[in-house]
Amino acid sequence: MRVFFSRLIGMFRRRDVDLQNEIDTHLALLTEQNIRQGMTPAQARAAAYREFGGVARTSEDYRNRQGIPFVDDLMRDVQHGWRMLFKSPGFALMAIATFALGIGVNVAVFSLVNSALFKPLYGERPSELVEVFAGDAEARTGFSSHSYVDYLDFREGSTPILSGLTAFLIEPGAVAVGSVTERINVGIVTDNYFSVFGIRPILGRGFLPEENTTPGTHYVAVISESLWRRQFGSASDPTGKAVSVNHASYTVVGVAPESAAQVFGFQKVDVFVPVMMRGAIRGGPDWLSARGNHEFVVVGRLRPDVSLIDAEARFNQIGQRLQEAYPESWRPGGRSRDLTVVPASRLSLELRGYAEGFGALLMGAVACVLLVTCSNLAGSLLARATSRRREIAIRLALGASRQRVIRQLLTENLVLATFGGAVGMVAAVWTRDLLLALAPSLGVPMTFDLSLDHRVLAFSVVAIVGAALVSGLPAALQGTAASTGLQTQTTSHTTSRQQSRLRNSLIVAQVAISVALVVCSGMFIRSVGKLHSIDLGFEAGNLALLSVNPRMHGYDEARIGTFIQNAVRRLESVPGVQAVSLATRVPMGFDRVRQELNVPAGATAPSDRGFTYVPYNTIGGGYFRTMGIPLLRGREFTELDQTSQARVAIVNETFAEEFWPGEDPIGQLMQGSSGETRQVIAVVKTSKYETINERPKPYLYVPLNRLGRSGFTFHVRMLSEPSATLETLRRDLLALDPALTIFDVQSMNDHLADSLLAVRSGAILLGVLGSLALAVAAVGLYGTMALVIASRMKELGIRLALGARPSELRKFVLTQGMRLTIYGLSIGLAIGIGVSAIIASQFYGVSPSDLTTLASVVTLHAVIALVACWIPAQRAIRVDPLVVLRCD
Amino acid sequence: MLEDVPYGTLDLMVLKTLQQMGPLHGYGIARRIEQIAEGMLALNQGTIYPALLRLEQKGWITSEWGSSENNRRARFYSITKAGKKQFTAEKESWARTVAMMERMLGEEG
Repeated sequence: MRVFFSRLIGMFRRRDVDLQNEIDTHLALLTEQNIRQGMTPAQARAAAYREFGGVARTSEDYRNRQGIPFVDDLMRDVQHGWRMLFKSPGFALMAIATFALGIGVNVAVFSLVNSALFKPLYGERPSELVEVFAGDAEARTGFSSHSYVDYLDFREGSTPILSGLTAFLIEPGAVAVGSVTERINVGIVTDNYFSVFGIRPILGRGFLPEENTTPGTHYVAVISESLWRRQFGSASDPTGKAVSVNHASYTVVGVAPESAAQVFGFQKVDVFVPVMMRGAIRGGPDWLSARGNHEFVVVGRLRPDVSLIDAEARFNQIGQRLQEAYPESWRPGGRSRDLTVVPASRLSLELRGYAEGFGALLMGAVACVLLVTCSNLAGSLLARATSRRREIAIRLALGASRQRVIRQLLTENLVLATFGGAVGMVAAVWTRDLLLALAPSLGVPMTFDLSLDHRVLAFSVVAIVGAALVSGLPAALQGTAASTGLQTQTTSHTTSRQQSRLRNSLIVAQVAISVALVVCSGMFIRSVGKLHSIDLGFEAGNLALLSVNPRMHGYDEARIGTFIQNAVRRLESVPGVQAVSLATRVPMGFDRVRQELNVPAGATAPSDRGFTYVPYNTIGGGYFRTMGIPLLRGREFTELDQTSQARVAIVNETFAEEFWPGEDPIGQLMQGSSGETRQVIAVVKTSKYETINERPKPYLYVPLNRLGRSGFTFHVRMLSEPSATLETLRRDLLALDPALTIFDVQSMNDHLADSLLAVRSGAILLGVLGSLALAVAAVGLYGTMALVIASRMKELGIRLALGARPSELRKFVLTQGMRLTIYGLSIGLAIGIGVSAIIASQFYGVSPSDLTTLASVVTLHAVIALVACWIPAQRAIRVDPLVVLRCD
Repeated sequence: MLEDVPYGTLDLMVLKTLQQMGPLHGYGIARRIEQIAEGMLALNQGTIYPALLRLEQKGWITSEWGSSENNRRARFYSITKAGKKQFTAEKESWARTVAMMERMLGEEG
């Protein structure tokens, strides 16, 4: 260590002059001594030098010991590399551009993945934050959401280990900015939310404990910085002023910094209100005391000296206590909900699984692009090493070790890669907006934090060094191979067999990787295309959707009833409308709510899940007719079901088969989590509910008023695609109440397209990456073929002179190029099919060996390869034999 | 006569010399080592300088500019406390090595 430091100092405080002094003294003393022993001065001097040994070697040895040789060499090589940049600026520009492409794409995609998966939560010391999870955290099965009463129990039980525990949820809302109503997200948070996260309001304050005591009474809000600027103008202090959220007036008590507007997930929150305002925001009951109402994400801050393991143990105890106290919600069907804590991150544990799969897919794709660019560069560097063979041979002959020359060549390449990486990173930052445009816009205010952080920088450094090594190593090894040392005399017109073999294999690798990538992205793109032909189980065409939330406007239950009746009647009278119904959930929406359900004894429920969670929808009359879902048995809900106390339900075919196999499902009973019993009155055909690629799953329908939520969506069956009629429908609803906010007005097809946006933007991104790789590989193929021909000009010239026909020569060149292409294609196809099979779960309805995709990939590559070989071939046959033979 | 200085012994010789003789310049150290070796060692005197630098980097010796017998500028090296400790340790380890080698080679012969 000490040696290292003194060497480090030695690098800057050279003692070369000192050493020379010392040696001079030494030699003088030695000479004097020799004279004293009777030599002549000349003899004495010669003898002194002899005794001392090589002066130059000593100084060299001394110098090497003084600094850190590796770093010294590195600095010298970097300087050399820098000079080489300007010596062949064309090559340098090409290499930098190629590196920039490969590294830039990687940095851009990594910063996206980083923002979703690796960035810590906002707030102070995010490593202390933990998320409470119910279920198996390892297997990621379970829930990140909890009921408010459970949260209160967690909070009480965890005080020894946590300095604070907060609960929050995000709910869509509307805020009036001037005369416009904006769709925003409302964060419903506990009073300690800001202090647990360590968010300091930039104006005013967070919530006080006394602002979270009585449901529906605390009309206070903390607003986001951007809402403050939009609503009040940055100049004025908004605290104490009123903001209208969901048609109720809240007093602004504070302004949260913009970065805090996205603490969790990607939804941007513009207004925070206390948990006690849950009911007011949603409209209707707040369900805060219902233990089965799991909707809050719970995040706590560990006390400084508490480890995650301690916290896990503590929450395990809390969980066990709750299981004993509330078996009906904590041990449903004998299957206990175990509590644990995990480090909190941007995405709740439930969502991380999806994001990780998708992130891995994207990173794999960009890694492929980097590999292709690296092998492309390796090819160019190899060609360059050929023309630099003389320089390298001289270095070796002068006594540089092979290792030293390799290091020098790699360092040169590192200089190029660093420049390329820097350019790529700048480009990545610039294209950030492009990436964001590709990211799904879901009609929900979202924000991605793509800012560079140390992770992105570290990733970039690794990518740069890795790319420099991978691309530079073949040329460095080949260029310094023992045989080349003897070739100082040979001209650059001949290429060793070994060298051309290496170059050919690089081309094969490029083609193979790009083919593999294009096959995978092709599968993905085709699968997305096929999504539209998947049988949804309902008729998506000619269907219009309009969503309202009358409770947001202060409607009471009776008024909502009248509104629904009037609205349905009004919409039905619009020309072109065939049927109108309503539901609280739209298929393939983002709202995935499940009902805990117990199918009573006597029913032969699948034994391992006697008590189960079933997704459900609350619907109005005529829903199945409107949706085009076939009714297999029984009848639709009627107006009477909506208002009477009769508890009825409709199930789908899969539900009936799973719970009552071989029995008549009509008249069967089931029990909900709140204890009420329902009787099945009808069975409908199974359709798609949450995702397009889902397997048939049990599904439950209940009449609209029963589980009465606030917002619902009118489904309008039309004679034709409703795009032109949407505005008419909207105005008809508005005529009933001009103050009404009508949102998400769109056709079912548009809604489905939106829900596929994430998948589709992934497909677009993969397609772009695939084309990039393809282009780079084509350039590589062209470059290699051009080089091959240039190095064989002489041979070609002789052949022509001896009477070879141009068409024969062209065939010769093309065969060479196409042979490499075919090797690459076969390897690439094999890899592509293999990888597609592994990630088939990401694809919907396309087998990994989709013939159309494969055929188009092969054709595309073959055509591009043909063009890449044709141009140099054309040049080859235009060779004038005399010119070629004369020069040299 | 030894053709080369056995690896690692030069450091020990330098330390011993400085311990015994007090501050010396490079030439003096080289002379002293040669004297003691009595012609058994062909020392390239130049090799002493990298060795001195190495020892100084390790903190076992320090150096100071002074003037030599004939009034030339010379750097005088002296042993440090750490150097003395190191010397003792190395001397013991050397003695053990020698003893072991002797036993081994003796048995063979």
